[in-house]
Amino acid sequence: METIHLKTVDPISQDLLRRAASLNVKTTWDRYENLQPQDGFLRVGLSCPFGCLQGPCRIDPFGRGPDYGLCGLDRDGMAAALLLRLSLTGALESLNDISHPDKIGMASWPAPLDAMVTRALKNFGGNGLSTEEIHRAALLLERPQETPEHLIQRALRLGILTLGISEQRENSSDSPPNPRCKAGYGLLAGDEITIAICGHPHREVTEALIQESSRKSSAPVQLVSLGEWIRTNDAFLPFACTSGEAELTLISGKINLVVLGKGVDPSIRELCRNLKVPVVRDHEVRGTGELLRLARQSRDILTPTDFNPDPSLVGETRVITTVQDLEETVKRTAVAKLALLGGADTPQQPFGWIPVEVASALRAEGYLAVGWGDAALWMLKNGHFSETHKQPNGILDPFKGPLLALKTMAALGRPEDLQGICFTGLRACRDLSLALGLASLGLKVSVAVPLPLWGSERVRNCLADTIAVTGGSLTHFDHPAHADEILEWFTKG
Amino acid sequence: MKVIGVHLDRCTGCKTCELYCAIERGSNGKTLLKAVQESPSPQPRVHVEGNNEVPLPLQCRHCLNAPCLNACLTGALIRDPETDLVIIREDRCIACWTCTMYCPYGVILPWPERKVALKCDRCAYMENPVCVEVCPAHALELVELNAFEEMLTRKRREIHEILAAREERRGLLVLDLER
Repeated sequence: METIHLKTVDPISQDLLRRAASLNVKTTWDRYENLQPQDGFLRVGLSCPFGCLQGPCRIDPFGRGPDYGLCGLDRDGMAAALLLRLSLTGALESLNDISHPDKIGMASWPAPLDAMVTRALKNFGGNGLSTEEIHRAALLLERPQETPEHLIQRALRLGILTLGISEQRENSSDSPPNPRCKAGYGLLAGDEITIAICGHPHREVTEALIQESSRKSSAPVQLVSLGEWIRTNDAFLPFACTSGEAELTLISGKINLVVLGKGVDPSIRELCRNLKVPVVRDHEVRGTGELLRLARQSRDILTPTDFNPDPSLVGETRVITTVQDLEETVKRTAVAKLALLGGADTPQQPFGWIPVEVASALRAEGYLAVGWGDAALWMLKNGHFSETHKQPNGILDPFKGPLLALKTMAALGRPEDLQGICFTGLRACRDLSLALGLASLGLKVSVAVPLPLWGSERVRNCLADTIAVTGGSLTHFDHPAHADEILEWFTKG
Repeated sequence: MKVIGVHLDRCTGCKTCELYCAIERGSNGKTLLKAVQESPSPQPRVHVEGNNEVPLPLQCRHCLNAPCLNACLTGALIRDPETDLVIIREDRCIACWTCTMYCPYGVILPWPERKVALKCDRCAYMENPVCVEVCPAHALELVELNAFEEMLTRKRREIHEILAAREERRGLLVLDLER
């Protein structure tokens, strides 16, 4: 069973956790502990992912129970099929981000990615890559019919496809480069009426709210994001917290209204209901005036909170969105090696532990540590990019992340100096698909949380061997990795 | 003496108790993902028999008159004077499997790879047995033997009352033998 003792490295979050306990409010960690142990068969990849509806078949990891599923599928087939299913889901998730998924093809890969993709595909079954892969993978998951090796190859191809889809999203972006980004509890220090955005609401709703909040008023309104990367014209919406800390921020009592968009956890709605924080879903928004009225009303009704963070607890920097910008940063710092840390908060580890510890240690070792996603927000919150540290900008566009770094180092003619890409946590299957895709292109990738592959040694070895053909590696652990293990992976692995 | 009580109506047959018993009691790594890599494979001391409709978790009853104690050729099986539990001293076990044949419930199992008999010792050194801790449906419970007897008597009485009421309507009389 997994247990954690320190839940977050942020002292303010720890105070908020105490506050949650005193209010008898249940948080992610309470649910996580209540759920232990989570399904052991699924955790090792031995719960059948085929949808035959005659199961679910499960194979005993210790070899005393059943060795085969109802159809005769063995443990290797089961674990490989589960990897393919996760990768398929990841590719499908990424399709949500773009408007013309049918146009994904070889032509959309810019140099030097095109050569890397061609080399990888040549080793993973040949032929070009298109969204047809998704259809083929779905057919493979209808009934067991292929070897584990073939399923793994397909999973890796889907990983590359997910990268391609992310690349297309990048190209479709028409916003100005280098948006500003602010993060930290210090944003909640003032007396403004605070409206929080959770998930991804419709763009029009966000824009109207930004416009409304920028007006001068006797009762100023501020708009914050609860960990979601929401692009406005020349900035990202300020982050009150990372995505994992959204519940804690609500518990602070500083949020007067929550606007919910796509992809919000049910726990947020439930928590708002318990705390009597008004919630509006994006499709229910009739006008911003109504929202402001609700927010003002809520501030008048809610008991004043004693949560008063220091206003200086805000990190601010510009987000790197172009190859030229990252190139300039790398040249300016004159460091030899680039290390990437990214990914989402996970309750399997104390929030912020790996990004904060590893980024500091890497800097001491002479690396330029850059991040994306929650990991980058942690680095920003902890002052990694502040002027006192004399550190350059190190936050990559959340949607371009590792690809941007890869292209930059290739443009500089130093691809080997990209020392590794670590996913500190996986929020959705899309992250796993990206990790598989990056490793397939020949990069050194690690995932700090366990993958459901430990039930089959053959699948683990086959995955490692297949990726090694292109010169890449995918390191994953049989436990939530420690910060020192990740540091060692960067510096010695 | 405390024993593990089973709420049959709650058991879903998920075998989580088996998995985590093997990990906690049979592995060196003590976590699932480490245990699955060990050789020989860790083995559980409890197991779930039956089918989807009637799953039946089985573990040692620590019988008051335990046949395995008399069957053991080397004295490896003893009754612990402190806890009253039937435990096995693995260093004395010669893997003759006599106890596995004598156990009326089939809950002592051979582990040929390690040449010892496997049986549940109710995780006596832990606050709660691991199977009780991990059961997601709370089908397993640690109860005092006396409380267990009282609960059984109460349940027998309830069943008797239901049967008696049903048979009375058909003009039959059901006798409560316990009374």
